[in-house]
Amino acid sequence: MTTTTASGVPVPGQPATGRAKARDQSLRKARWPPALIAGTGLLVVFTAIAIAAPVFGNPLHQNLLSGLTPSGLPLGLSWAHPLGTDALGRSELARLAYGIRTSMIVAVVSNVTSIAVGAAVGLAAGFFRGPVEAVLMRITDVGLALPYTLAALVIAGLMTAGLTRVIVIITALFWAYPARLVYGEVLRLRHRGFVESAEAMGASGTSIATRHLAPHMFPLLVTYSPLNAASAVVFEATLSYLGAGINPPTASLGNMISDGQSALSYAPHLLLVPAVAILLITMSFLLLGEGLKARNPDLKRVSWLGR
Amino acid sequence: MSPSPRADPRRWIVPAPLPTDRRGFLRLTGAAGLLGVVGTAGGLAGCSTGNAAAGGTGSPSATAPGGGVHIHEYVPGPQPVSGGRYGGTVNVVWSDPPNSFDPAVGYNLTAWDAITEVVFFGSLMAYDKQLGGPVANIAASPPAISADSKTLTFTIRKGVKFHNGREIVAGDFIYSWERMLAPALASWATSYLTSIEGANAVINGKTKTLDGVEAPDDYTLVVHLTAPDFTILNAFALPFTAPVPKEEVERLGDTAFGERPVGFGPFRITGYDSAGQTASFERFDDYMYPGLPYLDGVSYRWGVDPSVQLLQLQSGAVDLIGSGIPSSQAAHVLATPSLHALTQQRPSPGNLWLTIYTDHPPFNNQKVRQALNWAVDRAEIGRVTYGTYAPWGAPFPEQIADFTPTFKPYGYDPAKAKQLLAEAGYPHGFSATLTISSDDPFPAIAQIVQAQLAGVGVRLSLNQVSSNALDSLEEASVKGGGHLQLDADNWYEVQPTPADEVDALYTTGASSNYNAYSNSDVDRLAAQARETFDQTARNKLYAQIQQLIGEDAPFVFLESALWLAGVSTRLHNYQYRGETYTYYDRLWV
Repeated sequence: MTTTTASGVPVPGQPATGRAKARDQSLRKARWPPALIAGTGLLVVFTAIAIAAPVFGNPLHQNLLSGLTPSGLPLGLSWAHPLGTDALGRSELARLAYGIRTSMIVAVVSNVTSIAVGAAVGLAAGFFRGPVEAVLMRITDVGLALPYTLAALVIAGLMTAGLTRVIVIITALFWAYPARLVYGEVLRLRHRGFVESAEAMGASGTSIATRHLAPHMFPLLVTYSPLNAASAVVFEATLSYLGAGINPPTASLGNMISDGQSALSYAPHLLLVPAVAILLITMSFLLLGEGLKARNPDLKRVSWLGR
Repeated sequence: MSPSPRADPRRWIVPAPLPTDRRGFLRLTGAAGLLGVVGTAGGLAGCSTGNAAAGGTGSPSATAPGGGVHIHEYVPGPQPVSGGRYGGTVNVVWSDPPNSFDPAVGYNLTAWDAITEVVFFGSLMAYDKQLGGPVANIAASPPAISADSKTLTFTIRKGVKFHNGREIVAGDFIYSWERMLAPALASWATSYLTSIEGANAVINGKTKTLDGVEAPDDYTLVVHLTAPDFTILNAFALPFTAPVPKEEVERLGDTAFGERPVGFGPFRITGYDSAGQTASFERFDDYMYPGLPYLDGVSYRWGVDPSVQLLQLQSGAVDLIGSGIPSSQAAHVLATPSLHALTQQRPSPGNLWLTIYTDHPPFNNQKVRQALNWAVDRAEIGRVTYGTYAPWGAPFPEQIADFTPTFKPYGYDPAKAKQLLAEAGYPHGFSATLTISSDDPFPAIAQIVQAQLAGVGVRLSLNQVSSNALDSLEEASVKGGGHLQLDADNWYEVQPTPADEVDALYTTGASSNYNAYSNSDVDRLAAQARETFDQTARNKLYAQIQQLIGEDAPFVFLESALWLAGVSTRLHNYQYRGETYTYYDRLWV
């Protein structure tokens, strides 16, 4: 049994080698790569908008008389209505703020739930192997093979509408990928020295899995989670657009796109504003993920992104 | 607001002073008083400049010297229009695929258009012009009616041919009606024929033979009724009683016949592509009205988003928006002068409402139902359906050909609503679920109603489903499933009489009475009205029924329908009626 591994994962108690020194330097250089700054900045802005949404007005207040033109069309941009009004005379700005709030809640909550479920499954399957592995990973395969939209519509049909439904759907469909990731990582670490030492010292299986293996999953999952969150934002919008997500009158970016679509020829901002918001939120998560990856050379090596 | 000159080089048809564009027609028909209701319906008829030509409805056209043709007004009836031009194809665009082109089965807009006016045309009877009642069609003349009004004897016109060349004979009607009534076909329309002797036995599958209809010879058809029924002649004008050729149905089978039917209308079907979402139709040279149709063909394309349909009409890629200008585009179209030329507003007998499922609390309480009717502000709802629906707080459409509404429509009175709720035992309101389809304009209307009812303490949560899912829930509610409390729906009449709604929606156990509404007085009066052939006496009965239904309030009556047609400027003689849509045989380009 060797003390240094070919993959260069640090072994406790060993002095840093030349390679590790170089890595420390690149780490310092890459501490705040531009992508990370941009991603974090945008996310701070969106989080602030989500928290301060009530400042922008009431997204449900309809003004069918003065909130529309005399012939019943949505108002354009003005000081009173910075982003105009929608077909029911509601402030598009207030709806945008609340739509961003909905998207951020979905992104954060469903991200945590889907990754937690996935990590637990992957860890159990990778560590315990045998029949547990066979059963869990076959279920994961099924989860990966599901056509997302179709499966989502089926689940939507079984539940009453609302934010909870969207989070359940996203969790049910998004856990399989992190499960597969964690499973692979556990298989890689399963026979490392530190795991085998723990086993030799008589640590219980559960304790090895949670105390020795689970912490090693964090860098991986931290890098994966922004990507997962970005997908969740887009998927929530898709569901709401299809009428299977968040029901009107609650503002959601998908609902707003769905409403704005029919107004494209006379009030294009009703479609463009939520579409750009989705684009920016998704981009901010992707930039964050990219930045985190660049910041951590270890992750570069174990990256699952096409390496 | 004078009509802009058409850029179309084929502008050969009329010298300038006579209006031939769409709005001209509207003005004339408005001036003729026939469609006076249009004036209240929207802004278009209000543009009337008094430019009307002489001559009442139905007057013949006159040919002007120099080859140009004066169209005095739209020409009613299925006779050739002098001045029409032969040739050309019309492209029609739709949102939904046809549910079936089989006349006994089709009911959605796309199907209805094809089976009423394209592949088929009426049946024994056909509706006259844009508002008239049934007139003879395949029948050579109106039927001879026995003294007790229970036996109708039709003489079949000779020489009316199916698209396969065979002549239509009396036996074809018997075959078609037995086929339509048989449970195997599961036609939606069987209840229209229940007054024919023996029809119920066929519907229930007890026999395959319809006893009450006989054909003494090929050109005579005798129909025996169990009781007098003035609506039966309307049924004989509608596609589900149209004859179908037995040999073709048997050759193709029911499913294939629903895609490529062999009819007798002005156009025969030449192509049906469910994957490509198109159907094409070609002129039928042996059409029963000689000289018609003008067009060489009609083509359908479906599966097109409503806002895209309008863009296609503007660009000239399509000539006709089959289901009309959608609500979401109507305000835009009516507010944009350049788009005015592409639209016409027509009355259309139909309603839009919230169905109240009356079998469970709190909705089994009449006062609660009335409170909901007083609590909605229809003027606000009218803002989002401008041009396609008009506020109307009463049962029956605002505009029906043979009936003048007498019930005083519900208005907006939240104080009264609160008082009624308190009297009903709900001083603090209640919570309920409103189920809606995702089709325009229901989501917008539901959100407005939700906000308005919150004002009287009724807290609605919205459940948005697809329109197919809503249909299934409605049908399930009859069998005790579905669990609907309130839903939003609309109804388009296919008969120019309130009987259409009363017999389908309001009588106990009627085919579309999903909300368990039942009032024995309504049932009794409806049966009596159906047997009353005198229109004045009948309308007195329908006035009583309207009053009863209005007070019972099994629906939150919201709006009455209009029709905002989307018609290209190259299309001439566009005639629409609410029950049967566009008369394609009289269109020309």
